[in-house]
Amino acid sequence: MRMKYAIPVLAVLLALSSCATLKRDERGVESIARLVNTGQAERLAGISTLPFLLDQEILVLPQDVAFFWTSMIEAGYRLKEPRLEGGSAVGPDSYKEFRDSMEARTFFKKYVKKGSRLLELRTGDGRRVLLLVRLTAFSRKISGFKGPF
Amino acid sequence: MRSCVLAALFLAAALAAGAVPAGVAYTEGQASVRFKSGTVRDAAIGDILNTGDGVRTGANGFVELEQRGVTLRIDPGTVFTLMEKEQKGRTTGVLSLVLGSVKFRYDKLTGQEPLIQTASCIAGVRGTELTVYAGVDGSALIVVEKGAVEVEAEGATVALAPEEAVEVRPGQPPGAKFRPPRERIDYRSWNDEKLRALMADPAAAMQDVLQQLEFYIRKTEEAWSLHQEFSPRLQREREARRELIQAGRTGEAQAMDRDIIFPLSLETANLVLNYRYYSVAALSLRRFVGGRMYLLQKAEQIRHPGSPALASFLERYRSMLSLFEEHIAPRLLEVDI
Repeated sequence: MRMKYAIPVLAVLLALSSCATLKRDERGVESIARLVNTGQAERLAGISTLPFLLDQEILVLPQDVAFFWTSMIEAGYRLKEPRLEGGSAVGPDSYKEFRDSMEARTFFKKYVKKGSRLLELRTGDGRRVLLLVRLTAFSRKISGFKGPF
Repeated sequence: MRSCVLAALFLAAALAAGAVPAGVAYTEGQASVRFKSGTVRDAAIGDILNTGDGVRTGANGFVELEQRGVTLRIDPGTVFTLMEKEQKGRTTGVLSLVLGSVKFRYDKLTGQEPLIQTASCIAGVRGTELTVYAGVDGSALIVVEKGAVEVEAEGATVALAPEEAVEVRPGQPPGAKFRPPRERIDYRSWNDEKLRALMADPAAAMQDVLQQLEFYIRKTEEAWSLHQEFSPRLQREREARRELIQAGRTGEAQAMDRDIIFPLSLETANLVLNYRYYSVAALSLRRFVGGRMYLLQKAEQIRHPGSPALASFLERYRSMLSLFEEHIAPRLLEVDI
């Protein structure tokens, strides 16, 4: 009798949990896009981890991560009309989304924390951006950025 | 494979004469120590750095290191690492500066001074006071205040006397020596000049990096292919010695140890040391010079997406990545990343 209810209950819990993850991903994207679009380079640098993966480059110096956000914003980069296209938990092959290389693989293995997610956004100009983030109820951290491509 | 490399490095370290630890004597501002294990923490007085460990200073950071007989003043914005390589059959310490500036002051010369390496050259110290600057484009400027220094790049050597200086671009032989200004050269102004030239012609700057990378690849492969010959030979000799011991021919086994196995082990360990040294030097070049050039051009990709100068830069940058991934990455360990 118990088994009869267990499966539907599990299915409902699973659906609720993936719904919550999707909501969290969307909120994460919104807040990061807001920081980019309002030119808050310093805050972006503050929530970026060290080392940081930019496309296929591992940035290890804090001044380089700060320079990345400042220079992009000064160049007029904005995340216009960002739409979350997909989000997935980081897995063994996630590094290939950045580059299929020993460095990217090691970066993911050594530095990407458990619970991190890869978020793929599409912006108003049709281009894509990949964010490597760790979003919790209390904090959000960016560990990687790829794009626009 | 990894354990073989570690064992060989351990043997080389045990036989090392030139690898000397350095201690943090003073630190201020933003400064961190990166240990060979990959751990990074704020630099503190009393920290001991060994081969493979390094110091990174931020825009307001400063560290003074003391090594046997030498004081190193590490200025802001510097990436500095202690390395070692085999030279003329013995292990020699290498003080590697990839970015920023370091002033070296020797109390006395022993003839076993570590070499000083930048992305573009290597300097043998015969002097007591010198400053080395490493620029954003991989260039180096060596200024001798007291004593003498020999600077080598691309097979050419320049000997510097007191109050002489030389500049070296990556992948190029040393330039003509010149008399530096009396007051200390301001690193920021010198580096800004390099930055302006780099931004004006990023493809040319990346071409220099490519040439330097090709040099490191040649050296890495030279040591690696010799290691591939020596390593199985050493295994065969060890097997033969085991057979001698099993046959009760202990005297012959001992002679074999002394005359064949020990020298062969040493040479094999030195080859590991050298291919590791050149591959890690290539990683520094790729990350702190080539990678930072890419970072500098990233915003340009937003400003002028179709610019021919940018396209030309990106083409060479991709060549750098391919060469690095094909020839250097297989020789690196995860701890290097």
